[in-house]
Amino acid sequence: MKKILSIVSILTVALSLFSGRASAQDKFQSGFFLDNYNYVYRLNPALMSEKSFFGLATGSVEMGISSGLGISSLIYPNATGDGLVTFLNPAVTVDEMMSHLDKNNPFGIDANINILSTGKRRENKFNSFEINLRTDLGSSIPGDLFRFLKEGNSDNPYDLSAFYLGTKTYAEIAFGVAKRPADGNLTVGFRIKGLIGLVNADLRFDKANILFKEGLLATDIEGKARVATPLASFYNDEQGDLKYNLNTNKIGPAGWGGAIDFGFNWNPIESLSLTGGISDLGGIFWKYNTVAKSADQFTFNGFDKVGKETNYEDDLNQAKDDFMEIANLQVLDGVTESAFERLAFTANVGAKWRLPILSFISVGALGIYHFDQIAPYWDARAGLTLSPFRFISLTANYGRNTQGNVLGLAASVSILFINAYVGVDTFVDRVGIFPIEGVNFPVYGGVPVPIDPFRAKLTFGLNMQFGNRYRN
Amino acid sequence: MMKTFLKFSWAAAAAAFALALSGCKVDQAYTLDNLKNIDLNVTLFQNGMQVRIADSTSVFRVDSLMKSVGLDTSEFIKQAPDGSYYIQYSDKMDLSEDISDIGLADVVTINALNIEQGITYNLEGFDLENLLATVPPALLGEYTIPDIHYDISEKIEFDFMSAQDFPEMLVGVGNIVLKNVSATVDLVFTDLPGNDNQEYNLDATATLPSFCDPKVIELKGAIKKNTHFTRNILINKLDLSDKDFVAMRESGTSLSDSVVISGSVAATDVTVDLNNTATSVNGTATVSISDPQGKVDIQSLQVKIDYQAQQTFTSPFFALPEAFSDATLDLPNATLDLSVRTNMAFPVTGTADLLPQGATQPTTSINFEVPYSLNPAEYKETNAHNEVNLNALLEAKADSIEFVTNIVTDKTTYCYIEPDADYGFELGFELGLPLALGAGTLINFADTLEIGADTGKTIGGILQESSIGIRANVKNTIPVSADITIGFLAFNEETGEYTNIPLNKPVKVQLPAPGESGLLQIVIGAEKGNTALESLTHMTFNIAVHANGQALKADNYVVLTDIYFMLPNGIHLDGNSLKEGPATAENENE
Repeated sequence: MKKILSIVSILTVALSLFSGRASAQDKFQSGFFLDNYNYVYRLNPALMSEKSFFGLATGSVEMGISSGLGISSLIYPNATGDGLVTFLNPAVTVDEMMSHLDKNNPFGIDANINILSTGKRRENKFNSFEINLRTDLGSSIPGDLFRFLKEGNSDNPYDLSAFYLGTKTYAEIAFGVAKRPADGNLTVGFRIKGLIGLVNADLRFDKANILFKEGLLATDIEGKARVATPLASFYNDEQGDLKYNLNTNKIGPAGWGGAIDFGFNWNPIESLSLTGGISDLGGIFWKYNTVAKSADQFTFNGFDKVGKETNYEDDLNQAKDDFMEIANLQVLDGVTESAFERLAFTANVGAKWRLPILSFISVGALGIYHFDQIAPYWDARAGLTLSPFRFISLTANYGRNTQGNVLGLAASVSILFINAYVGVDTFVDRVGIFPIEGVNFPVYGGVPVPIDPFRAKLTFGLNMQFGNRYRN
Repeated sequence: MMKTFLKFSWAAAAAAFALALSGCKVDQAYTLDNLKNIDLNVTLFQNGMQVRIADSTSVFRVDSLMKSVGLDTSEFIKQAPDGSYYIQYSDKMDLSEDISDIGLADVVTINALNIEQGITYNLEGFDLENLLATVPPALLGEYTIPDIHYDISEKIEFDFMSAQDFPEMLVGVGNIVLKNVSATVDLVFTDLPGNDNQEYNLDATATLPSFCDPKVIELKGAIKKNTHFTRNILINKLDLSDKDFVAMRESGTSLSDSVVISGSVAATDVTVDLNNTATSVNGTATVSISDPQGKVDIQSLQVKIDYQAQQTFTSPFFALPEAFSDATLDLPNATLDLSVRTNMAFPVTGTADLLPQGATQPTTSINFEVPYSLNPAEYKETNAHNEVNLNALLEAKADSIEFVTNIVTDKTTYCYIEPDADYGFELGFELGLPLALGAGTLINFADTLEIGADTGKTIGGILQESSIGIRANVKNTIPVSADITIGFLAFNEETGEYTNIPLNKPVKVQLPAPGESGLLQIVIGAEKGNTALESLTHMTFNIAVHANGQALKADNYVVLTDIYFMLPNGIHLDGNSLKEGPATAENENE
């Protein structure tokens, strides 16, 4: 077990070095509408899988991506509509460009990889157990960075404090129970999750003002970085550069935590389900073993004197050192920090009605609110599900979220005892058609590429199902 | 199993993604055609960008500039206590050998003399003929004559200096101090009456030529028959100052004179044999003037000569550094100190024409005087300080200069010559040039920076759309003003020729005048439509320095304050050229 944890920890640290904090879509909403979806309890623990199942490594893979920047943020139609221009084109005004950008322009990806999962279904009871590796990587690009590139000198400082880079990886061990009285119509359920923090690292700025005016370069920066992992220790070398040592002999968690999901499923009539729940209510108590800060004000007004006696290299190095002193993270030796960080939790309400006669058809609606610190969002959608045969289920849903239209599609197929599913939830309001050599989508004549800020979650899995099947 | 699962998963994901997108709106603005028409013309920092490079600089001090152009004070550039610069260049020429070739030691030649002349004098004071006529021959025998004497009067003439030996330059001769030269007079009488032991008393003088000192030799003493009576006297000097050598040379008259011997030789009570006694006496008189070796050596002499000569001396000269290769200099306040050092007594004045080697017209002419030393062991020196204009000399950029000296002797003043002395003659000069660049001076500094064809094309493209610049406040205390011109060149590798790329807005800025402050701003670019810039391969910098004639001082400076790097209108990039790609033969045919 320790060996497995070590391998997992090293892998997650390696992943974390190339990533930032995620703010992607957290839940697979289409799973709410899809029949025979083993992991429906993740959205609401009162919802039970239709059959008992077992998954190892391939059980469930969820990958999400979101971007606050789209192609349409950076490329614009020209005045005559027969071409495009970049945001740096003189025809695009600063105001027009900034109307397509926010102060924060997040970009993130997340993943939830199921290592082991199993569920045992009885008619009125469902127990689940799973071990997941969850990671999210996020970043945020300040809108003022684009403004600076376009404007140059300005009377107003550029606020780059929205810059963010972070990653978080933890293991989730969850045990869930859903139960309803034998003669009742209300199912309640909960999941208790033990969370083992593996890596958490972030860099954020409380203040990052940079002023370019009449040759003056003034910065006012307050930044902070934290790293929680016993696998690596950070330090500044003699030049002040940030370095790290891998401590492969110090395998262990970087934090502990827990979370709870709970929900209900009320069936006022047999074919109607009214549900509600909250998931991921909890957090992780991280132990940050490295804390680094950069906080200072720096004004570069040119060299005091440049002349025959001037050692340009020294002066430039001094200016560089002065700047890097505040831009460079300085590890606070011996300083550790412990902090509780809540998970981005999700609240949801939903309804699903299976048609009385055409029971292979169901319709439903789902609304969620995702309490994310960086990019909170709501999502409301209605869906249609077709399950013409016991071994297949297809669903499609459509709705709106914080940014615009959302669409979800999913399918579940069972053959003998093997169940496979795939689905995608996405917000893509508009697409453009762009050429990629060798790839040609028949409908579009090119590759459809999202041009607006977009959000998508792809999930798929392969499980073994067994036991009786119970309709929810 | 896993492979199958993964394949299925990817296929399902792609299908789901495609299905998901199929519900999205297609924005017709973002199409393949429009993408092909994307305008990649961009502007960075459209409000402009300025970065302050420095508060101030003192990099342009004169002492730094001097070193940068190779005018280091270690060689011929000197620095006065007040910090001002001047050029000091000196050289000495040893002309002793040239002087010896003139032959001053041989200008006067005196012949050694040794003249023997027979003498005959008649017996005076006794009538020997009457006695012999009155006494019978048989009775002739011994007879005592109470008084016998002979009057001596002899003039021995000779040539001291032959007219043919007078040099053309010789005008006059003063004192000639002889070295161990004696005048000797020798008398012998062969038939004095009486026996061989009969003594006579010689009482005479030999008068030497008038220019000899001393002039008289006493000839007094006893003399016998057939015995030499010799007297000599050391001749100190000859004084020929009253001789007109010019007239003598013209008339072919040698310097002739004589030694005159006068007096008597007498005796009393001389017993004679009347049978063998004559009425006259004979002998020889010999006069010589020479040293024991039979020569006449001159220790020193004074001569007046009429001599004019032109002599050319060559001296290496410095060349101005390369930075001044195209410079026009004006150095009106130069000084030239000419020194003459010698141990000669030579009354000479002269002029020296200074000119670059090979030139026909002198740059300048200066007067000098040769010192006059009567003691060859003592060198004397004269210095002539002259203010000269050496512009032509500097402009000629000669590696060597020539001094053409014209000397004229003062023929009324004696030269003093010791033939055995070693005479030396040194001509030295020292140039002192306050490094004040004269009004109207123009010095061009030019340099070319190779950019390269590829980089040049990129920069040329940017400069068509954008401009970059530097601005600074300038205070100029150097007594020069300068125009700074920046240009661009295109190099043709096939022909090896550089072509100037004309600019719509030539880049030329002016440094503030001496003592003035001002804004220096150099902006390059914004050459809209100047596609020739894309052939840019080289960049030229030309600094034309104008001077006002004041002296340069080490602490003169040009100080730049508030130096900014500017992108006044941002950076315009024509990215559309990236879409066009490299030209192909097919494109060219189109």
